[in-house]
Amino acid sequence: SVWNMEDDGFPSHTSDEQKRCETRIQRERNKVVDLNQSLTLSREKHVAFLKKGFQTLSSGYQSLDASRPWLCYWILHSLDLLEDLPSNIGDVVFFLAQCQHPDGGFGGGPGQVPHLAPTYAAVNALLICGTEEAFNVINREKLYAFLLSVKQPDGSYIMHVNGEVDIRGVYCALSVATLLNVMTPALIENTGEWIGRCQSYEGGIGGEPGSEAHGGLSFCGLASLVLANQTQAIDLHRFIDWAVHRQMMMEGGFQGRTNKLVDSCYSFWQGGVYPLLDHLMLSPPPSHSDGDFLYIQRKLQEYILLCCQDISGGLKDKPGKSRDYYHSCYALSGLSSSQNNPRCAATLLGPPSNLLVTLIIPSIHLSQPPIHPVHNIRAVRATAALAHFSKLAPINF
Amino acid sequence: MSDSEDESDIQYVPFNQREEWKDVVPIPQDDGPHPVCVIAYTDQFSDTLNYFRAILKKDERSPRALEISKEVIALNPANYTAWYFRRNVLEALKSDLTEELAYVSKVGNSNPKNYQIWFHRRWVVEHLKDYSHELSYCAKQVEGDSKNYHAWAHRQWAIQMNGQWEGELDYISQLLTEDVRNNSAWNQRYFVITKNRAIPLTDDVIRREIDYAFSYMQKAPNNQSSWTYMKGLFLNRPYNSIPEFKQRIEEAKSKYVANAHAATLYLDILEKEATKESLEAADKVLDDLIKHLDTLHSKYWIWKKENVARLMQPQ
Repeated sequence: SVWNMEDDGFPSHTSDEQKRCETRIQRERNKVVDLNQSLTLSREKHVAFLKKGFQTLSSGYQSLDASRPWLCYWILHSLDLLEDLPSNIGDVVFFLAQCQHPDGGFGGGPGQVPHLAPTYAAVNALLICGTEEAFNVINREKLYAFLLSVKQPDGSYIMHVNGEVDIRGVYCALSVATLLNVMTPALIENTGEWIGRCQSYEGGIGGEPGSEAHGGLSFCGLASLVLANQTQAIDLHRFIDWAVHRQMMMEGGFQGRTNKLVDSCYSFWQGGVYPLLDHLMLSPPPSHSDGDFLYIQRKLQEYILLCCQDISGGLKDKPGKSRDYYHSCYALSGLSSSQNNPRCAATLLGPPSNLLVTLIIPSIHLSQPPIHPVHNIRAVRATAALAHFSKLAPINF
Repeated sequence: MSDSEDESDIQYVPFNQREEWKDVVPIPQDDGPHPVCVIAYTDQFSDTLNYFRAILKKDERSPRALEISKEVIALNPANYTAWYFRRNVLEALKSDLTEELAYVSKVGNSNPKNYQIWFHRRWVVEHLKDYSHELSYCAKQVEGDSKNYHAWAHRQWAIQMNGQWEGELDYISQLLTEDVRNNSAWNQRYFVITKNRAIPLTDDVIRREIDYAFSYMQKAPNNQSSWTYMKGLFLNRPYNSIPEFKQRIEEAKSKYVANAHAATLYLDILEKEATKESLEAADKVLDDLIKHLDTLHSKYWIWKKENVARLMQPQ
């Protein structure tokens, strides 16, 4: 089949944009002189970019002043996947302690009101740090109270008190509740049904009932259902049918929605649903040459490695865009996810040094839930946290 | 990286030079003893946030509290604490929300993808109980970015709150005429026909929608949106409830020989039919998809082949 956008001689803005994108991608491919070199993950450069950001950020980052736990998580998780954490990682404990709110949960910075997104990011960052101090910083009782305060009767969550409803909130809440052993039936009452209502006619999941199927929100929806053990709330076959068609023919990476452009962050949001589906026994037959998942893993890796690495370090959405910490995190997460198979050898494009640590523990794949692909932190971080917090008393209300 | 659009036309004056702020002791940000991810704030940013922290701590709900929240928002529109605080102050002061709607519209025009602004708008509109501007506001954002996710979600919200269904299908047709591949517009059409209780989903309505989708499909047969829409019409009803549909798709599949979408819709019809003959035919379509029509997604089609084979086995 033809691998480029077919506009049927009836162009529109969408097809023009897609063609522009494909042309740009082809230009990147044509630039390649030494393929092995181009496919090499530039570890040192990415580490330098990430470690710099962990220390200081330019004033341009004022727009993320309400998302500093996110910056901590994006940077630390990326460095963790590259197995090169900063020597002063323990500092993050002191900083995130300042972001924790007296009423429970974490805000986007010191003194900010608690919000589910920085709560998720802060907890993940603390678990990547993984020390006793990091675990002990988290006030579990207050955090549980915060989760209850944003839980809605219809099963959804608002992002903060007097804030917006969004399926991301469900994922953030259930992820931290699971890791910290504060999950209760109250936190998932009607949640499965609400997520079910967010599944659109396309098969993917949107931010609210009626909204368009979207990659990031679909990951949040499916991961939440796995955590709540309610995956029957959506039609999984329709979900897979939608998800699979989000891998772009020419680019190899994923788009977030039908008829939109490829973006490296969907390497995780879209690519990351496959380990979850695998856990639900929805996998291709064994001994397929391209790994255990229902998409072409090698092509995704080619897109990330060839098109999304910035020459100065860090990763980006697509050629022509600027590098940033968010895309570095999710491109690397997607890369790791696509490399590491639960049951067969790694699917590895490029030299052996490209292999990132796995998010999955293969040996316990079928007997335990894929807790790590759900939370998007390394397997060892999640298991250490679960071991620690499961010894603590569950919350009694 | 940052959006440096300045909402106020007023020149920034350091707070310690403002007479009306003389009584306030600014509170510097406390990142703790070992800061990380330290942002190099401008003087204006630090100064404004220091005074905001002081007002926040006192939970002061005054006109100057309203003013400073505006300045904080101008420096970082994603500061959700400032928006949350602002709502509390507006309520305490019983402020004129008509003015607030004008303000949030202005800020929204410069920051069309900001979550906080869209939510604040919902709050203002709900309290004003005035939905009359919402469709035109959303249309304006969509004009700039035809797939703005927030704009479409807001539009759906406004329509449901106010029952303003009339004219929506025409608006969608207008957008599809401009760009038949606008999947957000297709999604909106699905929203209207399923959520508007004035349109019961009778066979006639479904037929009309099929014709509609077909007319746009024929302009651009490789556009996935129109095919997915057709498939979506049969979410809660069997394909044979519209007996001629299967043949129509079969004909389309023959006409558009290289078109994976026609084949996949036909495949779905055959699978759902679930007879020995239909499943054997489905298996053949899958072979076509794997070998020629949609080789990129071949891992998926191979998996489907397994599923179909399982269905074909005697019970």
